[in-house]
Amino acid sequence: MRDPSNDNPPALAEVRERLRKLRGQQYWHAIEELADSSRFHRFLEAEFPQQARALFGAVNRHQALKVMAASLALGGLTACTRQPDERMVPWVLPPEEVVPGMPLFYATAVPFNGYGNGLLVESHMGRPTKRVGL
Amino acid sequence: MLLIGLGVGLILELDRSAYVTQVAAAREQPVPFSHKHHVGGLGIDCRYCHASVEESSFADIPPTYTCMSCHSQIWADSAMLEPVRRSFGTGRSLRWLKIHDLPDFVYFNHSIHVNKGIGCATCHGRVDQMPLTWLANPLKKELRIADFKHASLKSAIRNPKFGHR
Repeated sequence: MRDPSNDNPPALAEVRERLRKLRGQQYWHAIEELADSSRFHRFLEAEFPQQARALFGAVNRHQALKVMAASLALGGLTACTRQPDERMVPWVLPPEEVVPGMPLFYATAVPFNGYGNGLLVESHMGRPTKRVGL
Repeated sequence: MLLIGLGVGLILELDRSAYVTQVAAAREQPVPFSHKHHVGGLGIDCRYCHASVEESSFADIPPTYTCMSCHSQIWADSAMLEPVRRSFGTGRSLRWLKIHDLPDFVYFNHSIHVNKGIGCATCHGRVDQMPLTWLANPLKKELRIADFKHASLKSAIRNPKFGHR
């Protein structure tokens, strides 16, 4: 570990020197007050270039909207994938009279009140979707 | 702003790229079925297996029974056809990989296109030359618009001879 007190940049050394002379309430009210010297700005810019700009450059509505627009535009990227693979599962032995993709109508009967009642049923790939009669 | 425009353009273009649409990529199937051999070599009609193409929205994937109608006699001991025999014996379906996979919001009807004179190869390419099946055209809107702008197809569609069934 390096001893930070040994190789302080000149700006920090200067700040320390300044603080050493002060007593009690004279120290400083806010860090901005302490840091508001051109040498400190230069040090900060050299050390953390982007943070310095964010700290001392004005963050305005325009910039904020720009960042938001970029995130919105890139949000659609999640849809940019290959279509997932699908499998087709045909019959082994096809049932009679079914044409895949077409409804099959057939007549049948259900017992009701002791009688067999005629029905016309529409079915899609074996699933009944509509019945007429009764 | 220019950068964002370029980025969006790139993404849209990427969506049409062969990498994403997998055009011309022969995919592995449970059985290495060759259309080139069956259609190009033996001359079996598309409709022998894809039987419902003329009457339904769906062209049909042949049941194992259709394969076995020949392969119970021909190549009946072939190791390559073992999955077919197993399917027929156990009653469990073959699970083919879907090469032509339209988005679920698209309704496409095969019968109306075939009956109005648009052949299989217009969209599916020369399947009779494909040892393993691949996607000949990305099934995107551009293809459909390009096809319908084609003059000969337009006349085929307008021809009163091809009426609704």
